[in-house]
Amino acid sequence: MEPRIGVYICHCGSNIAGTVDVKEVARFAQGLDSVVVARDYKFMCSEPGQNLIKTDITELGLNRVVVASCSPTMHEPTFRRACQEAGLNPYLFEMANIREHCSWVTEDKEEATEKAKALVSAAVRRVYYHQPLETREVSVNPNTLVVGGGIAGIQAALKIADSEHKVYLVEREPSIGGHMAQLDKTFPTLDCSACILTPKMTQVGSHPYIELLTYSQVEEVSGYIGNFKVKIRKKARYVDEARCTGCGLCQTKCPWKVDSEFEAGIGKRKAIYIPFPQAVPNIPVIDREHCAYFLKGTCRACEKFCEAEAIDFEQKDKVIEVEVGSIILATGFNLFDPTPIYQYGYKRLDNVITSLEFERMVNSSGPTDGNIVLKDGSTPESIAIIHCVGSRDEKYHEYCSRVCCMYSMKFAHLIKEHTDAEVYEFYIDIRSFGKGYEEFYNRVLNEGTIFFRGRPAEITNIAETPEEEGKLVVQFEDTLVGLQRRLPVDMVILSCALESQPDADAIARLFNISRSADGFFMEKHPKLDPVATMTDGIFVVGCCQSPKDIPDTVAQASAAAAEVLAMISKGRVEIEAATAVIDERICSGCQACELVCPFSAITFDEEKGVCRVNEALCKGCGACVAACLSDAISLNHFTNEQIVAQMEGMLV
Amino acid sequence: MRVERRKMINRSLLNVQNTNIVSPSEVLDYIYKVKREVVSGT
Repeated sequence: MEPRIGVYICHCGSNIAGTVDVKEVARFAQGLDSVVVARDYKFMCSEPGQNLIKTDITELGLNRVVVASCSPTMHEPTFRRACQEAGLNPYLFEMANIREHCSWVTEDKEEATEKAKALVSAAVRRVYYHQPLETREVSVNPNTLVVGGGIAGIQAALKIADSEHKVYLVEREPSIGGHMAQLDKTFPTLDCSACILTPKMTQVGSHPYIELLTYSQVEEVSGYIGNFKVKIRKKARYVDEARCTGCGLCQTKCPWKVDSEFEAGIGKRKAIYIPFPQAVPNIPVIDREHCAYFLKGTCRACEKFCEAEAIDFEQKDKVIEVEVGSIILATGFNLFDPTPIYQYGYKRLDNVITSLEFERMVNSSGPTDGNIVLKDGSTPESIAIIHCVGSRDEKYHEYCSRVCCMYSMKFAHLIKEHTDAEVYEFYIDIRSFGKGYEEFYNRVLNEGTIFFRGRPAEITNIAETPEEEGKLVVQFEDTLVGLQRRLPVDMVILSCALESQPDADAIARLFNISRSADGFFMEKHPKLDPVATMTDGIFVVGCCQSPKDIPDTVAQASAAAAEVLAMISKGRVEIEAATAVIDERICSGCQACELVCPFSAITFDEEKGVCRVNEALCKGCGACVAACLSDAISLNHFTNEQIVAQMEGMLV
Repeated sequence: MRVERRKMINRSLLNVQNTNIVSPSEVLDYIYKVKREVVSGT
């Protein structure tokens, strides 16, 4: 059938019409080959705008549609839907972006109008060669995998499981809880962190729809949206989970002490240990690297005292395979190690500690029973808190970690609550942006905390005056008064940045998702799709996506759960029709396409010696088309004919 | 004219390989830029 094309030029209020002569562009479009009608309208995305297209399809018999407006990322689905509602295959539509690519970036009206004409002409030429394509649907497995058992993973898992759908919650540590379990109070309400977290942890541990896999790691992911297959390695605890009663006698009797990861290194744990008293599951794990039995073949004290006979030194790792429809990544963050900032003296000077170490120190269940003490056991009389350590710093991380200002002010409040010490906060800018945060800042100010604007240059123990003797001296420029100053204090807390996990790159490769320049996992769209990723069916929540506070993390986790539940509820998902197609008669089986495919959508058929595309995984990026040496691959909706026509249209 | 157009496209695509252009719309933009240069004789 001869193409009958309708062209619609959007004013987008004054966004386009302010720079582009839309009437002139419509007149130009009317004169192009196969164009039956060309109109301009104030907002094509509005209902009357869409109705204009629908009516013309019906009354004028249009079989191709071009809309020249904004970015296809915004409204291509809108106009495709409009075409479909009028009975036209949605792939017989083409969009020309005359806003971002033209009106917004061109000042001269005449030049902008000329470019808009070229873009419209290119779209018209291209749509001429469009072919109707059919989208396919695949069923969705109602099970979900949540990776990471911090507050983000817990929240997402509970929301999904509460709707009676199975969730596999995988956590690599021996207990769920994440960083939140290490915190003392949470800003700005000063709720006890454990008090609000542990009920959720217990709920996860006993939920009939959650299968908790702690001390486990994902090893392999295959499949596609709705139908993933995941291999999980359940590491040996050397404790029989079915027999263990969680009495804790084994860790009491174990004679070997090592630095506790949960206590951020300022407390000790045993070689067989439960990370913290409220751990879920409340089952110990033997640390092979420090257990005397594994190192020297002696001891076995835990085994001797275990009445339940739960110690099993012969236990082996298990690999289990699960099938899920969607995956939520909630792998959290890593706290920046300030050791490389030599001038701050961390690990070099006594009483210079990180924010996490202070969290454990001030926690009533921590190694000092909540007492803020110096290394010699005395109580500090003055404490400096330095903001932005590793954040907003070109040498380390350029981004703002978003929570440091607030937790630093929380520390100031807790110090005042526990001691009579003077507190000094060193900041670049105070960023108290959330609900109740500014009020908390004012509260801390009124409590007598002294704020200095300036990033300290150095922390030293070299005294220049008698009052600096035996103290840490913070050397800094007070930028509000323009003075270089020295301030002697007893303790320095470094408010460290939140950074991506050290193995974020491996996780990204495992799940086939991208990372942004700052190392965090990249979302599909920062504003309109902030929890989805470019790999359909995989979502990112919490601090693995970017640094954020607890309320934002919980909100994001609930949002991802809602996305997953929407998929489960529908029971099927649509697969993009614009996928690569391999002509098996031409394919030489060189597998160059398999190597370049970023979505692992191409597999090699050993028997036939040709490559195959898994349409469910293919995103239509075209990398394989460019890589194919035999010219055996073409891309639906991006054929050579269509692209060359578009380019030629650009030159009219 | 068709030959001229094809030359412009080829010239653009050859140059595209040496730029940071990654998306199809950027290719179109580049072709338009080349066209303007040819038309204006720069």
